Amino acid sequence: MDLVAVLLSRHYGATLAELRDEVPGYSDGAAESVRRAFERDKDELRALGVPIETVGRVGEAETRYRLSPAAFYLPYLVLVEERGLVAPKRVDAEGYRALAACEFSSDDLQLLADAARRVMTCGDPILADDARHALAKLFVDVAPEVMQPTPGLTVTAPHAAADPVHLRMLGDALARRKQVTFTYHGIERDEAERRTVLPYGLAYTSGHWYLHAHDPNRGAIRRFRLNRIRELEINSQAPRTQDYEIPTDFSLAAAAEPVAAWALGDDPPVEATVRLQGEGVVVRAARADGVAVAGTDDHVRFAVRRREVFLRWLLSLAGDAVPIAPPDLVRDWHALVSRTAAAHAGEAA
Amino acid sequence: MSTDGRFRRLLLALPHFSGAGEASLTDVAETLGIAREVLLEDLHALAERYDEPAAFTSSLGVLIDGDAVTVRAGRFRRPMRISASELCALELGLLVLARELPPAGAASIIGLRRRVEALIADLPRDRDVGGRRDGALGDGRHAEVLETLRTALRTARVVRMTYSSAREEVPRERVVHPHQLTFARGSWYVTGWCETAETVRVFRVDRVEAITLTDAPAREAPVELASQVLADGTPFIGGSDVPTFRVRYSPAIARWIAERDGLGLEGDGAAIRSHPLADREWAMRHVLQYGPDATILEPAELREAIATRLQGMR
Repeated sequence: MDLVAVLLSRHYGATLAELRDEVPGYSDGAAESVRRAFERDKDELRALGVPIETVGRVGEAETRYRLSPAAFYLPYLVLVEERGLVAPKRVDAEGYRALAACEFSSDDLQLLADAARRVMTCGDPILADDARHALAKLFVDVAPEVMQPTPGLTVTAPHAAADPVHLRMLGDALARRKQVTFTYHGIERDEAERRTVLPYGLAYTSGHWYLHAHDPNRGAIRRFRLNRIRELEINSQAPRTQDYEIPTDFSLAAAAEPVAAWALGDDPPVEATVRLQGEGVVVRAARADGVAVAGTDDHVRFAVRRREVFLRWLLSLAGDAVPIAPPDLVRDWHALVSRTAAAHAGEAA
Repeated sequence: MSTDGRFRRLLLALPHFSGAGEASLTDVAETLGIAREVLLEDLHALAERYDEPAAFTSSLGVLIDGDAVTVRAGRFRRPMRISASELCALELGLLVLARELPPAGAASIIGLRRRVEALIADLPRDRDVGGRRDGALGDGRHAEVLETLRTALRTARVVRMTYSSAREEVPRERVVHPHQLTFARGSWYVTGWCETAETVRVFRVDRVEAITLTDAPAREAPVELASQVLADGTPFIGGSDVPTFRVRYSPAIARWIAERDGLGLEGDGAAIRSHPLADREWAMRHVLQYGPDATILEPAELREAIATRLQGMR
C-alpha cells in the first residue's frame, strides 16, 4: 500500500533509489534485495490490476516507475436519469478532479447488478469475488438501492458441481496457455482415462461448467464437464512460455451453443423425417429443433448424429412423434418401442 | 490473513470511509460483502502503523468510534479502476444475461460491456483479457418472457400469461403475481400466486405462450416460499398429500441419474427415486425418454397407462 501511495504522489514517477528512501518496507535492505522485493511487489500489484508503468530501460539506475492517478482511480460514474445527469461529488484534491466521467443509466446499473449476481451463483468463488468487488467499486458513486439485482431470482446449484480448485487451475492454464492433464470419467462408457489437452475456453452452460479444449491425440476439439475431472495437473515445464495458441477461428460462443444431445458427436449426420402431431407446447418445441418439410402439414426433418439418443427423444413425446424415414431408422424405432413395452409389461419388479 | 486480500479490501473500503462525515462500519461491510469483523481488523491493522513514518501513513487518520468510522487520507479516496479479472467476471455475467434478453436488450448489453471496459485499468498487454469464458442459462428461446418476468419482479407487478401445460393442447389464460424466477436443471420456472387457481403455482417459462405486464401491483411473496419451491432441486409446490411415482433406472443409465440427482446406486447398479405426480403426462414423458431403461415401480395404474400408450405407438 505504501508503494502505491508513493507512486501516486509522484507525478513523474520514482527511481528505485527514491522508492528505497520513501517506502518503509524497502528502507533497511541492500540495493539488490530491494530490487528483488520491488520486482516481486510490482508483479503482484500488476496482477491485482495496478498499472505501474516502466519509464526507460529496465534495470538502469535512472529507470522510473510511474502510476498515474487517472490510470489508477476509477472514473466518476454519472447517473443518467430522465430529469438529467446526477454526478457524484468530486473529491476536492489534486489527482482526483482530473478523473474522467462515465455515464450509466439506472437500467445499465441494474443489468450490471444482475450480471454480477449470475456470476456469484455460477460456482466459481474467484469469479464471484471479482464480480462482487467490481460492484463494490461502483457503489461509491451510486446508492446501493440503484444497483439492486432483480429480487426473487435464483439459480440452483447442480448436485454434481465443479470443483472450485479445478476452476481456478483451468482459468490459470487458459490465461498462460499451458497444457493440462487430468483423469476424465467418460460417463457414457463409464471409463476413466488420462487425457492431455490444450484449454481453449471455459463455458458455464445451463448450470454446469465445461472445458472446451483441443485434444492432440484425437486431433479434435472436445468438451469436458468439470465435475467429471480428477487429478488435474498443469504443465509445469517452462512456466513463462505459452504451450500453444488458440486458433483465431475458434469461437467459444459457437462451441458452447446449446445443441440437442442427438446432434452431438463426430458421426456424419443422417437425415431423419418425423411426423409430429398435435399442437401442444412440447410438440411445438420439438418442431423448433428441425426443419418443416415443404408441402406437408406435419413432417419435420432432423439432422441426427446419435440415432439411439434421437429415438429415445422421440419416445419422450409419448406418441406425438413417429419417424417415417429412412427405413432403417423406422425399423430401429419399432424395435425400441417393443423393448420399452416389454419392460413395462407385467408386474413391477 | 492474506496481504493481497487486505490490500484489496482496504482499497474498496477506504473511499466509503473517506467521504464527508462518518460512515457505519456495518453498512459498509454489508455493501462490500465483507465480514464486519474482518473489515474492522483491516482498519486496526492500518491504524496501528501510525508509528511507522511513511508517505501514506503520515497523512492518514483512522477514527473508529463503535460502529462509526472516519478515515482521513490524501490517497485512496476513490476506488481503484476495475481490474482485468473483475472485467472478465462481469463480462461472463453480461454474456449469460444477454442470452436471457430479447434482441434489443442483448444489443444494449454489448454497448454496456464496452462502457464497462472504459472503467478498467490499462494494464500491460501481456495479460489475457476476456473472451475465454462464456455462459448461458437455458437455450435462449424465451427471452421475451424472461425479460417481462424480470421487469414484473423488479416493479412488483402482475402479469397476464397464456400458458400451456404439457397435458393440455389448448393454452389457458392465467393472471399471476410473480414471486420467484428460478433456474434449475436446465429450465427457468416462475413461481407466483395464480389468480385463476387461487393458490401458489410453479410455471415453466418455456410453456408461456404469451405474456403481458399489467399495471396491477403484485401481492407479496409468502415468507416460507423459498423453502417450499425446490423439491430435490426441481421447482414444485406441494405438500405431504401430493401423490408420487417411483421409477427404477437401469444400471445402463443409473450413473447419469445418480450424478444429476445426487443419488446412491442400488446393489445391482440401478438407481431408484420418487417424483411428485402432479402431471401424469409429464410423468409419462419423463419415463419414456429413457426407453426400456426406466420403468415405473408404482403406482401400478401409471405403469399400465404407459404400457397402453406404447401399444398405441406400435
